[in-house]
Amino acid sequence: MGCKFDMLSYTHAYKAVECLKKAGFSASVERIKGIKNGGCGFRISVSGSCEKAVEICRKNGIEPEKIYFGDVT
Amino acid sequence: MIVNFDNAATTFPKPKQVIETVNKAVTEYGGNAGRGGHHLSSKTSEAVFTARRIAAEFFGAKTENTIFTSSCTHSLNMAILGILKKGDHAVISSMEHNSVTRPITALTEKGIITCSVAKVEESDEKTLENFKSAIKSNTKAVIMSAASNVTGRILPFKKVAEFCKKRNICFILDAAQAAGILPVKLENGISIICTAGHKGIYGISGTGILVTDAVHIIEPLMYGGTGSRSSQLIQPDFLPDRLESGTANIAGILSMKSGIQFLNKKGIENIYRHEKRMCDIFIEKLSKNSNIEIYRDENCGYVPIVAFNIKNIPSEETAERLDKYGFCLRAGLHCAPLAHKTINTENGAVRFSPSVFSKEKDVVLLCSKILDITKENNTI
Repeated sequence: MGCKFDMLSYTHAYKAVECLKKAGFSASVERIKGIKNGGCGFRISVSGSCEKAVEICRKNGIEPEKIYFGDVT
Repeated sequence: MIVNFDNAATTFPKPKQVIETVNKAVTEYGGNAGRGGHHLSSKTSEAVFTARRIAAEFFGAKTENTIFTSSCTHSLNMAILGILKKGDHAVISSMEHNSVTRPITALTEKGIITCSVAKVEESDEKTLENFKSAIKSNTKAVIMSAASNVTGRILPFKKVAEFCKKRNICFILDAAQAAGILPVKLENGISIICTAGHKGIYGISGTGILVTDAVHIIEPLMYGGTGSRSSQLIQPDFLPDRLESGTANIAGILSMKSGIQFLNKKGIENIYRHEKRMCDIFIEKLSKNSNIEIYRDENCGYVPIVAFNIKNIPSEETAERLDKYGFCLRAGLHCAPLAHKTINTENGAVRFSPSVFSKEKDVVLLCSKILDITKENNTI
């Protein structure tokens, strides 16, 4: 069970992935599909403990815009 | 034979790894960073992110607060025009380049701001006092070069920045001649660093960097597509997107990354030591000749730049004659008329600026040509 975080931009998405990978998570960047979330955007897909992943992001100055638990399209 | 001793304008040659990176950038990184979800875009996005992180670490900034620009002039305009508002006061030094003086002059002539110029003296303490005296209750920003592009003089920017920090004044550092030579970090009162990517960082031309502590908010200079929040008609309010509209110079950005990696591997203290040695040889060979004027003060610190003139020869003529021998040096006002006024060379000077690739034998040969020109001129 993983989660996905919508990020402000690709810079924030890649920074989040880098921080999470350093902490042992599996994470990747993907494009947000559709424009319902405000237009062009990037999301990261994370495997593992979502709460911990959010904590690591915040600790590194990255605030996810939205958090989705489980699968989301 | 062509030897570049005008590295203060732009460094040439570039490190082999930078050349290889640029070649790779145009052949393999064909996407537009942050503009799509396909393979080409993702690969390019990740490469640009890595470059941004490496640049951020080099300047002690956060990754997202590291902005890629097209030049140091672009970075300085972004900072100056983005920070200063109607009714603000700014202070600049008397050694600033036109990339500082011109946007400041434009703002003052439009009646948007007022400005004071703090004279750079032989003594750092006196210079600092001049800055302190120039500060007013509505001083919003101090803009200062780390080192003069004309004489190479290292200005007391750290002390001025510390003073600004105590008064919550935005301190904008022009690091064009210092990045890659001196350790320049976003710390101790330095709010924003602006620099070129194509000088001491050894990236290709058309590149620059701005790093900010994001305490003083910079209004965008340019509005447009950022690849984020595209459904909104307003500019994103977060960095780096807020200050980076339009398609990025991918090859340029990756070249800066490669240049910084080159610097990290070589060590900037080693680069400084090598270039300083070139300047020491240059000065040693020429200083004893009474017909050559070297604009240096032994009590001051310098980055590896030497300004000089052969007496009674216009600086442009000296440079032209050296060019015929294959030596490329810049003459004139170096886009820094204020600086020339400060050192009393309002008719210009010739500037010698080596790089990490400069060779002692070329410096020695250059000096012999300068001495030849001096001798020819004195026998006319």
